Amino acid sequence: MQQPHLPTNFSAGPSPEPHDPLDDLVVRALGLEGLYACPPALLAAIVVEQTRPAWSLGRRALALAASVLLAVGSVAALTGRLPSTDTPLLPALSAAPGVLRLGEVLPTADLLAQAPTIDARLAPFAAGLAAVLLVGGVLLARRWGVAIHEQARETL
Amino acid sequence: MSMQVLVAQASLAQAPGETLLAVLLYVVLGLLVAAGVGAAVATLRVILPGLASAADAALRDTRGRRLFLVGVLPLLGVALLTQLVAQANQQTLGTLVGVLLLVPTGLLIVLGLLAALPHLGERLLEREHPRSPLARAVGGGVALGLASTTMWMPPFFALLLLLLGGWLLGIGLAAALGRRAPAAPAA
Repeated sequence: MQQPHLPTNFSAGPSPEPHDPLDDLVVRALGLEGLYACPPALLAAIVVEQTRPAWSLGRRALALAASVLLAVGSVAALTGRLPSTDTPLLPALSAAPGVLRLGEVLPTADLLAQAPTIDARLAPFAAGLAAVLLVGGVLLARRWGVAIHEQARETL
Repeated sequence: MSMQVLVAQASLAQAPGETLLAVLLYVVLGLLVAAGVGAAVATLRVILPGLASAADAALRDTRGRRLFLVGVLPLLGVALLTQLVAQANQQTLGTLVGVLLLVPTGLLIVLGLLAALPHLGERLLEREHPRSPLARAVGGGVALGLASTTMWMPPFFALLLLLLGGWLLGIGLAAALGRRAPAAPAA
């Protein structure tokens, strides 16, 4: 009795599909247009590779949000209430003598209290100036700053 | 001698002692906090080696004046915007600015501290023998803590705060947003 033919060389993978001359034609036509054919799997891999930093950023943002939640939860579990600026978290510190309350005795408190106010008519211009300063700083940082090199990126 | 005079004399005698005690307490607490900040930075450098090396590269490979400019401009912008929002007195806007602007600025300043404190400790305190990373960071923290005593000289303190904050923010921004490749570290 004749045995059925079974594949023995599994590492070689499936047999290649017959070559379609239309593929060459399409590739040549796309090349003339300045475009190059790209298999969907490779395209997907490129897209994934390009968007990986965004995913990583999203993961880090999630981790940061989880850390904040954890910290707030820990404080709430310790003090029995949610953190609030209305009531002091450390009553002992607020009950300390005035000389120990740093914010009240250091000269910077007076300095900050005397900060000049911005006229309401000038507020839009001031906001524009602030935006220009911020964007200018960011652009200069992009231009002059030093990138996080690959080795450091891997250990972030 | 009346009772009131006695009480006044007693309070006068106690006041200098209490003042001296408070000053000593400030000095001890200030040194402890400054050293603690240095130790925290040294710990963060161990936990986050990638961020620390990025900040080191930004500090090493970017010229000082550029770092100041990169940091001082956004710092002034953030201060101006914060003042505007504080005047507007709107809680939602305040929360938004706090989350979107002040928190990232603070994190970038911490990123700058990761490189700046050990750098300060190395440049200010080391003479011949290299010190441990903890000693460098704590030394830098103590130097900064002592520098902050200039808050009793407000104009000088404001200038120092602007330059120091700009430097730290510049290091953080250059490390986080930079596009140039770092130079190879010296062997």
